[in-house]
Amino acid sequence: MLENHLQSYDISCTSPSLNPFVRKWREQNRGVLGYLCNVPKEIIYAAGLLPFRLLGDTKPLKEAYAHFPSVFCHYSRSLVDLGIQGDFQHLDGIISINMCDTIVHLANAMQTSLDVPCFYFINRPHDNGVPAAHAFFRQEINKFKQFLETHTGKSITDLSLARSIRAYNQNRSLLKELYALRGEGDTPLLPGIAVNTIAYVSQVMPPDDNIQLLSGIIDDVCKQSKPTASKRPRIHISGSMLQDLSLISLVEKCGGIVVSDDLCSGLRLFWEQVNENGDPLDSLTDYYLNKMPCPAMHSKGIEEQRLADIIRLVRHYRADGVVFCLQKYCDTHQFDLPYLESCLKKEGIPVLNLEVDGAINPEQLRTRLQAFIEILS
Amino acid sequence: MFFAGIDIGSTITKVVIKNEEGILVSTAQPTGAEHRRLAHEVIKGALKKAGLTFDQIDFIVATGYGRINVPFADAQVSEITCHMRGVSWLFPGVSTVIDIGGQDCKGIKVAGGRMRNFIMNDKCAAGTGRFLEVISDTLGLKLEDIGEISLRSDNPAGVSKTCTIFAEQEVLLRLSEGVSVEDILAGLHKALAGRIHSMVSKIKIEKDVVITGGGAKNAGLCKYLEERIGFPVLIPSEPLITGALGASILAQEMAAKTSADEQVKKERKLEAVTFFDKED
Repeated sequence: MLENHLQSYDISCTSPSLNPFVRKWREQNRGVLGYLCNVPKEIIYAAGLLPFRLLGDTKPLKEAYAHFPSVFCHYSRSLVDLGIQGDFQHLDGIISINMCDTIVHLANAMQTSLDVPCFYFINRPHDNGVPAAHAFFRQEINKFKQFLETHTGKSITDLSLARSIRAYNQNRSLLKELYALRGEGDTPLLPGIAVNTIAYVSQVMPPDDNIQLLSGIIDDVCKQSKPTASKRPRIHISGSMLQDLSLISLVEKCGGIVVSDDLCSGLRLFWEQVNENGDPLDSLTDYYLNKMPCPAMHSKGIEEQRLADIIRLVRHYRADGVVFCLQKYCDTHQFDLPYLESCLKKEGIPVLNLEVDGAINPEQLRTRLQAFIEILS
Repeated sequence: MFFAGIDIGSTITKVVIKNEEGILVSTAQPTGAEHRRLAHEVIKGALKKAGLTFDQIDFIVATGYGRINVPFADAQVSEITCHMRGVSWLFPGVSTVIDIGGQDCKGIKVAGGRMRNFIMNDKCAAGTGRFLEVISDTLGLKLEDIGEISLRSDNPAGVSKTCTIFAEQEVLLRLSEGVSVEDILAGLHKALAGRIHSMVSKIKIEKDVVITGGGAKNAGLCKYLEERIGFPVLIPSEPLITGALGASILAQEMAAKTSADEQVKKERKLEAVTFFDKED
């Protein structure tokens, strides 16, 4: 049963042309909107459209070299590549938001070079400590809502927004439960790779279908017999977007177990909830401005906040070491690295630094990961 | 009891067989494309040299980048840990190990016989034995001679690049300018030493420093590394085998920890070797 449920989270679903839900929604004449980063997906879903996070892939690039500088991360270049190859024909539009500069360039490049019917760009303040930030971002979110209403010809009611927020919050708490089954006990009840793949693929699933699937998986896992306690070193993965999840399997093949992460394609997606009481737009503004600390933000104290978050997760999941796997050329994350690394070491938390650029090179990484795990054992 | 360590490196495969008293035999031979077959050949060769049979070996640890291709090994350990253990056994006061291998270069920090930290080159052959191989080929010299030749120079040529390909181009340019081969080699060794030094400095180089791997066999490289480090370095008499030695030491420790139950499991692994033999 568990196997069947896990099959629904095939990594190929991250391509719009191969995703069964995208096909189904489009056959029913319901639109699908691709989005980047921290776009308030709840509004898209409330408008009756399917939000689909653009995740790119790890294949070698074909076309992007000619269009996009090589100093941008593989994630952004893979999206340009897929776009030029026509992978986004199955989308009815792309919504972007200004997070890091690369994402802004990516949005511009997609808007000018790709044949996608609709584009929208949300402005998001980079400093949430400024008094006007909340009011400004709320207005931007409201404008986005109005844009979607014009686009679909239907108004987005407070009730549909509340329903959408509720559905995504349920997704978040189920994913949190799944992470607990993996990383809170002495032995993971699920392999690290399975949990990270589920979280990753959840970003391209309709939330209501995902609730059914996640609940099924959690039921299956709870019914399993409990394995004996494992003494293998427990690893926390830190980074932004980790596209090649085989890194998680590699950690486990090298003798460790992955118990947690702070990836923006992992735990950062669901750790906090959107407030369900009060004005939905206010709640979404608060969530997307304050609750997902990203190093692209310039807010005062953002590094300290991220450090505290990592330490809190390491303590919560009782991790023995932290493996940073940052995208090559991801300036925003790389700039924070020396600070995070030295502070973690001061806390007595061993750190290993890996750089990823699309697909991982297992032979090189195997030696480093194995040696790191041998230090922890 | 007998314990074996087998280190399949990118360029050379090394085996050490030891007992409780110390090292019995050590062998080294080039790694070919066929790791699986070679793992079997080298262990057979080492056994013959030691006058032992396969069944007499109590525990085998495989290391090096071909470690996953040793089907008869009882355990696999990374070469970083193995080098650290091998060097600590030879030089108990070691604090920094610099291993210059065929395709990678590592710095290992040791304290009290335990590994504290390490650093390793990433995605690039600069600072490794491959750099010296390419350069000796370009100059039409033997790899084992270039270190000595470089020591004859009083005036090392300026070599700004440590990228293997760009350095090769620079060598050709210097030759066309009429610079002597000794001076060019001295310049190249100096540049390589600088590259290795700056990488290993990230984990802080402290006394005692031990250099291992094929790079330690190059007198010119060791001299320029010593100059950069600023104090004398130690070099094992057999710098190639420290990884295999560490693996054999770990094999001895693991054998002591293996319970009777697990010994039964080990028997099954030996059957797998028979199957492997037939496949050969």
